[in-house]
Amino acid sequence: MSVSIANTNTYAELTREGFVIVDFYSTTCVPCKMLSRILEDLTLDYPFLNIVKVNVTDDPKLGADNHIEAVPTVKFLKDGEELETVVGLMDEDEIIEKISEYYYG
Amino acid sequence: MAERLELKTKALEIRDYHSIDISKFIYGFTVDEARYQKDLERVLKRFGRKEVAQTVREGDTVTLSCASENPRFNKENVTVPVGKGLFSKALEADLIGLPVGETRSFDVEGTAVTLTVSKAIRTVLPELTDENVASFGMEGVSTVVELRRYCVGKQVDAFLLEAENPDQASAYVWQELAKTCRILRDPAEEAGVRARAEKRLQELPAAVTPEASDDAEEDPEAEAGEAIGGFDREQMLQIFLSELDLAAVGAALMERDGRALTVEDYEAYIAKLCEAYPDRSEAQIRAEHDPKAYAIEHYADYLAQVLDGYVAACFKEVLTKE
Repeated sequence: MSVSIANTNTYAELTREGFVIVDFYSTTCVPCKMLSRILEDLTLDYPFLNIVKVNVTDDPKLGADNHIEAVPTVKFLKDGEELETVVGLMDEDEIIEKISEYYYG
Repeated sequence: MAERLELKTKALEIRDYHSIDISKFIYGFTVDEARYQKDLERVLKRFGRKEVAQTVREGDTVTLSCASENPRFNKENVTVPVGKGLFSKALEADLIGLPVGETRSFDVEGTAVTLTVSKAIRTVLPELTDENVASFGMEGVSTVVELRRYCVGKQVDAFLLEAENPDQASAYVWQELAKTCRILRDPAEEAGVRARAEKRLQELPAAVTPEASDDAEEDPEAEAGEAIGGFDREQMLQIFLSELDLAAVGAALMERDGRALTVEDYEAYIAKLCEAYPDRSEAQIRAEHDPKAYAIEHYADYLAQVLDGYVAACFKEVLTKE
């Protein structure tokens, strides 16, 4: 299991291999906090997940590089390749569905 | 002292929002026991003992290899939490009772699948006793009762975050606030805001289809280009124009809280944008984000934060009473 905080220098390395869920958030955004809790809970149920968090308030360049226009935005990546981007709050079942589709797909 | 960012429009008088009754928006909170059990199990899992199992049981996390014509079931060393249905409900049901190391064939979703479980890890949950809970070392949690409070606390947080219609309650507070606010508008300022609002209106899609409107499903007869989220263009213009009033009240509140925006805040904002958009010149960025627009946006945001905080505090009061 890993939950990592990425910045411009570490993002590529952290998302290069395997299935990764990237959570783009901002400090004051309420739905971001809700999503963050859901992801934390999921790492307890699915310890093999890799979650990378990007605070776009602290690192707007990384947000812009990834074309983030609103938060929360979740990207599902496999071996560095973007599979899907979801803008807005996702509930637990929706995320599990994506894991089922992309991690095992 | 840092130089203040000037916003000419002033709020001369603001009613104290604490006196605004929003009880009609507030509803109660009850503990969801099923959710509590799930959260409790998650916490206990964190402190559980990991055991290597010889036969697969529901809840184990297994590493398996499978071969099949179906590419989904043709994988090496894949990790599967058994019983969650994440990989395949049918295949995970077949796994239960399977000895580790044995190879078996099953019919899964109409396809022959041969699989071998190479490892099964079981988490044995600790018994729920005060002694065990104290040994977890969780901050402020050293008894079973406190652990329940901690788990329920997650629901309380979610309740506060998801409280029904918080926007509606905040909007109501704003409306009530606006009724008694006395705002001094600089005519020159107002002309600028009107020009900005009209520009924003022009930037909206010329023909907004009913599908793009939130209300379109409820109003199938809405015509293309007629309404945007239930508002017509004149109403949208009024919403954009009201930003200045919001900002004026927000500015007064920020000043009250000793957080008035300064030129340094603006410069730091520009510096961040320059870093984020290296392909644009600083002059271009400054032209797109002038100090006035920055101030209006941030003061209005502050007001929204304050009002949301007030609404959240009212919900918290309900929780305390219960």
